[in-house]
Amino acid sequence: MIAFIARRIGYMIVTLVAISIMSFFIIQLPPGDFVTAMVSELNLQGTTIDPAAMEAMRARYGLDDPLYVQYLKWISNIVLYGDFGYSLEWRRPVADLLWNRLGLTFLLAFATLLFIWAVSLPIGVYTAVRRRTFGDYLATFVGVLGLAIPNFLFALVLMYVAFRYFGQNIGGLYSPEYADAPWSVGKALDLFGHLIIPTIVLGTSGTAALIRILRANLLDELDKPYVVTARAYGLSERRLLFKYPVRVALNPFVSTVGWVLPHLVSGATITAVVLNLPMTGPLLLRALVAQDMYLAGSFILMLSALTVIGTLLSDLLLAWLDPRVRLT
Amino acid sequence: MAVPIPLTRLRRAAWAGAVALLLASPAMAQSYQEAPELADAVASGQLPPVAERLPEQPLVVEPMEATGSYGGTWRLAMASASDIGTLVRTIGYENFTRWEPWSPDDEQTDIFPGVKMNVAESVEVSPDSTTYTFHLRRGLKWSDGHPYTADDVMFWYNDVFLNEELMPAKPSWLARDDKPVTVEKVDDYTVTFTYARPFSLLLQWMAVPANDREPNAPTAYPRHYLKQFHKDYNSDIEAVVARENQQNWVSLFHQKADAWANPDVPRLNPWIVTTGIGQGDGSRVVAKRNPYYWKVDPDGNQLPYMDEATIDIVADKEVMLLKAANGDFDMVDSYIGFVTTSENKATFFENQERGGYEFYDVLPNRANLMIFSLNMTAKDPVKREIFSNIDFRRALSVATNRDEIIELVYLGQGRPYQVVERPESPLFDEEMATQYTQYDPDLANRMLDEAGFAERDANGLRLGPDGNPIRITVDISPLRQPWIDSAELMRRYWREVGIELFINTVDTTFLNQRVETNAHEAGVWSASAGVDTIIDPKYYFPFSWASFFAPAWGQWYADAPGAQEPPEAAKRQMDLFNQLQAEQDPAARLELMRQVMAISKEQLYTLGIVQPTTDYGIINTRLRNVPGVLIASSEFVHPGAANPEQFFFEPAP
Repeated sequence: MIAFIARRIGYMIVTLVAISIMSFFIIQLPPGDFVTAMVSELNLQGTTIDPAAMEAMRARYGLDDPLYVQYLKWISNIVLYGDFGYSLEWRRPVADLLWNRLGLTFLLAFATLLFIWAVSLPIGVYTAVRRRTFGDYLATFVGVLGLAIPNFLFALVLMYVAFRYFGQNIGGLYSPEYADAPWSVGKALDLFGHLIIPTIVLGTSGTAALIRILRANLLDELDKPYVVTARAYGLSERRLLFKYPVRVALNPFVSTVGWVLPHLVSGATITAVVLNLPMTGPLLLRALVAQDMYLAGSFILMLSALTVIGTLLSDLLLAWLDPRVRLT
Repeated sequence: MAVPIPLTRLRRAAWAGAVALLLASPAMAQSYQEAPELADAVASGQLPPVAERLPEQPLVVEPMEATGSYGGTWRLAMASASDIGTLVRTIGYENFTRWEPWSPDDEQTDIFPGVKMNVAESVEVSPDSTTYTFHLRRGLKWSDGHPYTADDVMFWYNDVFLNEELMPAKPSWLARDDKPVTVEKVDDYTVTFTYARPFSLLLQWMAVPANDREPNAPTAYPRHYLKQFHKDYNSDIEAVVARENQQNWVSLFHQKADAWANPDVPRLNPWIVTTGIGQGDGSRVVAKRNPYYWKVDPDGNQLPYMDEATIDIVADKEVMLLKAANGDFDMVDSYIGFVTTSENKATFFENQERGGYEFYDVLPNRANLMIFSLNMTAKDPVKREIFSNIDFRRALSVATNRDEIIELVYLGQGRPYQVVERPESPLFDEEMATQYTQYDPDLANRMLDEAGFAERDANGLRLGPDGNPIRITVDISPLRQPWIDSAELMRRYWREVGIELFINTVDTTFLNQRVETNAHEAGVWSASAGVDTIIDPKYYFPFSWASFFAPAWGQWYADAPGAQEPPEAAKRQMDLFNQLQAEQDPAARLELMRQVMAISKEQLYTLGIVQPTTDYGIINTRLRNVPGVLIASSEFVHPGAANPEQFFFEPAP
């Protein structure tokens, strides 16, 4: 067990090094740099900047160093001092920006995960047990519909409905009156109210897949000899179902836990932009557009780290859940 | 012998009496009142009484319509963390001088809007326009109560502006002939600005907002606070850099001096940022009343009227639209929030009642929404030759059906003009606006035949001097869909006269980079007008790399790398413009600019497609003292020039 974890951590470090190099260089691929991006924005407002001033800025931000020098500076600061660098656009240490938003992202990830499980688990079991009934087709249809509608469109529609018929204020995580208020019951309820739409939008796209996986796995299990034996012993149908087959069929739930957070940060970006949520996604998108490379690079690195850690955790969970999985 | 500059021009008749008195009799020997929210702090001794917080002679601001009442939050929106312009234009417009508020009944005789004194109380200008003597307001204080004096100006000049590390590039208006302006302290309340060569536009330039995180202005650097972050004043600067998690002392200093990110830096603005960009959850900027704000209304009420301002950072246009239609913001237009487009007008109209807002007019101050520029300094010599042929440009202009473009793409809103000033400007020239704007493909064909492009290939495409068909690739940013839609139509029109157009959509950043390196064949952008034209005349002659029709000539004028020598006509324009910058007499300045424009007119450097008529904005029905028509531009500060400190909310019934 210990040997297994140690080996896995070794792999993780190698993976992260590779990811950090790739992500840093991919961010540099688009033409121009932070200064050109900034000048473009100023140009939109009709302001032009002196070429000399642009050169001076490049020198100040270290943008005229060769790429590998920039990379080494960035990565050695992270490894040696835990310093994720400095966001050129926000003019703040990247770490400040990250932690601020990760909390909310975790919160939403957790809410979404609960929503997905709460919806797909019963439906999945139901459709497997009552397969080829009207209920099976209906549940499947609804689930697939949730998968088919693009998230951003769904978010816009829900927002419009909320705006038109409920008079709710739109986007963000708090109503204006709570935005700067200290925590209170009112504020928590307000936050909860604002989480409903994003949770539904993000959750519906994830449920269909899990429903189908659970249904298929369960169907495999239900015809196994041990189930027939148990039934012959007169075990109640419910007990029989949940004691082993469902437990085994839960495998996909657990093995995908590790991907939920990265999926939410990257997959939910558009939704978060549309709903104006102060989460990580919009910040990452903006960093890429503005070519704020230390912010974007650190972000991608953090997400990758979370993904590999998540994968390790889900492997350990699987071992605990499914007696057939062995850690070697 | 110094020539005093008249500080005010008479505005509406109703104001005339008040304005004349305003400077003759300082508001002295009268009692001042303050906002109720400050009363507790004064009573407990945290704040000195209002009379001690104000300067000896506070600046008296005439309310637009009525004396206001205190209170309320001004809710605004910005588009991204980089959208500093919105903050400056709304809650941060306090320079040495400022633009006069503008109203539609003002006869525009000068190319510049009027300028009036602001942070500086008065100025004397030497007859040769080389020396400006500014008198500061006695007793004026930063937002932390510390006096604002000539030492702060000198700190900006010696330790920021002249510091090669902090400000390696000098703005063009603070230098003549590559020699930076000389600033000297005469006494605690007097400073002089001296130029090596006559420069008559300093007061106007000072009124232009700094849409930048490094304002580089004499009103933005409180010496007593910023000293501790400056290498020359703090021997232990490295420790501070490390403690503050900054990269080096330069980024530390700029971060600390940045009023939009650092709530601790004292300011002269009506509202002081308490939650900066990226603080809190990073979704909004909050600014609260400055208790030391140095302006009062005629009754002696200390301004601003509104308690605070919140500026939400909303990145998505659809969200901005929904929030605005929901009444979440008190003011939205083409310069705040950027969502009042013609296609959104119906949405705003429908939701007027529930959103609690009404419409107002915005004179967009845009000369043209779509300028098609052929690069006359293109890298390909064949293209250069074709594009430099003025008859070729004229023919393409005549081959373009502007009326149809306006009808289909701009929903019928706009005038089919070339690049020209707006009709309300003294520089407007109808002939310049309408030359070669008729749609006449036959004429275009004849012109192209006569211009030497009569040969065609089997597909009917005209051949260039090298015998190859003429193909133009135009770079367009997807930022504004109408550009792409219009170009698609133009592709069809031009194909009819035997010219092939390719549309290359490129990201804005990349587009600018291509133009800057002179790598594009043709490009599309829009143009501002009015005061922007004088500050940045890039559409009328090659002024900088941003003159899309000839970046390399622009670089020549800007003395930047990649320059090519421009032809005589452009050089003549550059000379005239240099003269204009040294000319004090507004009438003579206007005449010089007319001559610059006359050359632009005969050269037809660019093809203009449409000049917008008016834009609109929406405003909270309870917000008062806002002009009914606003002029909006990047250089003419909107709504800052209308004195937001005297906006107020009518109490709810």
